[in-house]
Amino acid sequence: MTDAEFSSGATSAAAPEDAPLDLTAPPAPTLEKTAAAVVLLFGVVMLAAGRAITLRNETGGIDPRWWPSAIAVGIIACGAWMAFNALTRRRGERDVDRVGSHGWVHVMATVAMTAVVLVLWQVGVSFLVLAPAYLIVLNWVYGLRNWKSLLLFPAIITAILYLVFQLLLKVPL
Amino acid sequence: MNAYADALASLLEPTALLCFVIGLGLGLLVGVFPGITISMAVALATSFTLTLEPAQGLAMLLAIYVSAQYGDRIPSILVNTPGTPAAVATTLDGYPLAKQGKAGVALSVSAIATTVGILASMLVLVFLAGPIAAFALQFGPFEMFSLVVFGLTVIISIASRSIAKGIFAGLLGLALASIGTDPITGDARFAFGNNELMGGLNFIALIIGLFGITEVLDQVFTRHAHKVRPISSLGRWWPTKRELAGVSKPMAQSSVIGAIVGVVPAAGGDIAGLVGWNRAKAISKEPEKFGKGSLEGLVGADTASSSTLGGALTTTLSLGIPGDSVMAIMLGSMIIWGIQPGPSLFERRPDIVATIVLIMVFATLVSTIISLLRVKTMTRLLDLNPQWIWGIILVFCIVGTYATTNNVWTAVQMLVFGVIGLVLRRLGMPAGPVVLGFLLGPLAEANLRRAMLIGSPVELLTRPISLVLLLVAAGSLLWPVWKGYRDSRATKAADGGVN
Amino acid sequence: MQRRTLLLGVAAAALGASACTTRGTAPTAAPGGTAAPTAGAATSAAAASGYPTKDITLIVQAAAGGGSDLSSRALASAMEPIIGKSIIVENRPGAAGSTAMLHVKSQPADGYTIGFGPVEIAMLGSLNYDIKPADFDLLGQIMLGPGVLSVPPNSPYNSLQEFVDAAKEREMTVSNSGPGSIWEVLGSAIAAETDAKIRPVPFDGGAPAVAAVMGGQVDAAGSGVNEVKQNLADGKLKVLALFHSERHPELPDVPTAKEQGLDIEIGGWGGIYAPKGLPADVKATLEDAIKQAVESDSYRDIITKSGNLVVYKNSADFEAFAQSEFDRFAELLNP
Repeated sequence: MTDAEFSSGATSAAAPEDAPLDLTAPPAPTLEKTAAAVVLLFGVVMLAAGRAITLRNETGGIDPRWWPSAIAVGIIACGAWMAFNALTRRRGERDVDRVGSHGWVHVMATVAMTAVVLVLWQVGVSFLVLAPAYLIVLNWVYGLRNWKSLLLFPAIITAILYLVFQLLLKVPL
Repeated sequence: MNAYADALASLLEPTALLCFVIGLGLGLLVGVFPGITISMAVALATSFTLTLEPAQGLAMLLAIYVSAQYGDRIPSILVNTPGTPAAVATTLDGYPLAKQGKAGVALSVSAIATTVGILASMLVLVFLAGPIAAFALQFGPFEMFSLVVFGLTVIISIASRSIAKGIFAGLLGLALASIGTDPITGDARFAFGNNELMGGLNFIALIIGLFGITEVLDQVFTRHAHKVRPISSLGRWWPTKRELAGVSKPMAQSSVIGAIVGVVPAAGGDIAGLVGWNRAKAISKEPEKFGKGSLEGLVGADTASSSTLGGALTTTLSLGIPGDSVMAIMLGSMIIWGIQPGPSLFERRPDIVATIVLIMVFATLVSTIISLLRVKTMTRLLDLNPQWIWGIILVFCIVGTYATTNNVWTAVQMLVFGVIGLVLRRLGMPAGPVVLGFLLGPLAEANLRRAMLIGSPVELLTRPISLVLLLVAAGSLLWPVWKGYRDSRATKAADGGVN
Repeated sequence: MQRRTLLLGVAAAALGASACTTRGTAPTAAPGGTAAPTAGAATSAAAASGYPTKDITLIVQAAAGGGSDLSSRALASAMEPIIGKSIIVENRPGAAGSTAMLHVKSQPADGYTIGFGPVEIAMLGSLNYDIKPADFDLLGQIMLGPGVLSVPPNSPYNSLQEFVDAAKEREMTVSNSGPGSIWEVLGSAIAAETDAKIRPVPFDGGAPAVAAVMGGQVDAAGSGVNEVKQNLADGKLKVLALFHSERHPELPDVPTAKEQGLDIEIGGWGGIYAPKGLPADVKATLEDAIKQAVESDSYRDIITKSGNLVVYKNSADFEAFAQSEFDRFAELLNP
């Protein structure tokens, strides 16, 4: 899904503010075709995986393989339908916003940071330590540099976490 | 009536009042945090309510139950993150309303809709418990399957722009739900030898990911320095007379829908909310506004999901089948108190039934007042700068989701669903059908296969309840198609056939 | 909430609480009527090695509020004054209880992480999970919820023998609380012992399974005592047999299977387990504390009220019992 159109108009977003009012993403025919192909592929893979489910007792008929297979067939049909739409309709309107100037960087950084926090948490670092660090880095990435964002805000949120979750709800953080 | 007087006396005693206030506070608090479900607060309370008298314990458990119904709407409306599963449908119109600067009106109307729903459902509990218990017993696998088929038709109406994409989203939900153990044979499906996957995916992680995390990621993705803030805060906070009059029809309809869905075992406020929203759209004069900030849609969802409470209580008390996870916990406590559920409970222990009804009504009234009073404070949260709001949502979603199982794996699922949700949203695929498919898929499959074990497929059409439900499902599928056909012919005629 | 089919163990057996997964942990506040404060007066159980020097975590495989959770909390609060430290109950629901069991298995064998082990600990190994009783140190059995077989009130069968005879002619549908559950095994055990033809119909929890028999949708239901007690009193169903060595105090008029010539015992039992390889003194301390806790009034009160029986076995007996159950279930689950 690294199609340029996924970001739908990063170029125009970088352009000067001559059209600041319409932030709706432009139509993306290639993206639509790619999506249909991915859906088709997903359906086929699911159908194959569904037929390959191993059973303790082979009963035949409506067995545990039947339902996933039925869903997979439905997904393949939807993929075909989407492909038909993508190939026959020239412009599909979209109701999502254009990507922001640092959109890709920020969203990647957010997901990566969250993943790192979860991994560290799994290996045993307390979330009460991770949370303030997470918030500081996120705010820094988002371009906030003042002391309120980098110190006060993380401290307040961590305090709330401690009081509500650790103390009141007894969640072992 | 004597039972009610006695119940009132037992509730006015100081310990009971204290329990009530604690429960109310806890419920209003937990509902606001996404992921922290009501059942968590109730489970927490159970550990000490068992040492209390039944009236005191019930006061705490039910006060949590009711007040959390109000809290969970707040993050749904303000930040598109359902506080609990029951508030999923609230996001469909609540969040668009907030984006239009109508957060105040949306919160107030949502609170009113919830109040009407709960109070209407209490009438069901008081007057119809007996017939309902009998009706619920008639609801076997055949009837359940037909009901679920009807529920799945809602997918079509949530699929806003492209029906193909909407149906795919629904199928994706069904596919995700098929991971784990088979409901009839217990065989592992799509688990790939992974123990965590054997248990299936976590529903809370799914909704928090698809709504809350996706919303944050999308805002991060599309933020423009020169863009106006997406949500301007409060605005008007009290609906106009015309707005209130406009929502009375969906309110009445959704009260009935919620009452019926609440009675059906294994169907709760989450399903009722989506069905209520869908039916409100079907009777609305402005169905095109649904999903884009319709007060009717908001009311249709909230009244339906809250009016399941009476039905859920009824099946819990009369059949011992808990209508939702909170009821499961309450049932456990009641048994320890020596209150055995059963069809005869309503004759054996009128005092308990009266106590429950009174607590529910009091808690509803007090929660309504508090909810309306806090509308201003809550909307002020939106005046924080957006980066802070993102941080708050991310941190609380992570912790809330984790707390459902005390297992980081659940939070990992949430993050993955968040990313999937972003991709779906960029492709114009709605998240609502995914949730609906995930909820209803297992019910559809399990009940169909159960039905095949105890009878033949023909019975789907020969059992009266099942037949009616299937006809309603077929009707709700064909009606929009026919209407669309008729409308497009009318348009074509008007355009002179140019299009 | 996940309405996923879980293998409902004691949760369903004890309380009829459904499979609705709930979440959260709760403080160790005593659920019992006689909440004993954590006393400094630790008894001789606190052994010479100094164990325990810190709080102990008791992992529960089910959500808060259900049967397993209540049994665990009752035991934890009864154990605290004996062992002299807090016992923190932590719920780790998911994947039929295997998540919790594998978590305990992965913890150091130092006595600071123990778990509540329901009957599934002897069943999951036959259901594709990598879990067997021999993976753990079993410290003692603490409870038992025997099974019953019930039929609709208008059913022509009034005894287990009549039902079994009829089932030899015609295949009977028997509802249970879920695939691979102990109540599904109940049906398989009857089929294996006689020549009865039984078609299991798994539901999502014990209460829905019993509702199916009350609604006349199935021929019979296998369940725990608590799901049928009130319905029997109200005449909404008939209970044909109790699958235990003696009659149940809550159902004095229900004959056992053995009385009716069928020697089958099936029940959802529960006990405490720990990671394999506990030091001998730690194991002895825990075993002794569990025994004393099981004998306490506060514990007995909760277990009895939830429709279960207080049945104790010491570590060695429990390990032998769990192993024999494991072998028996392996045959019944994989015919």
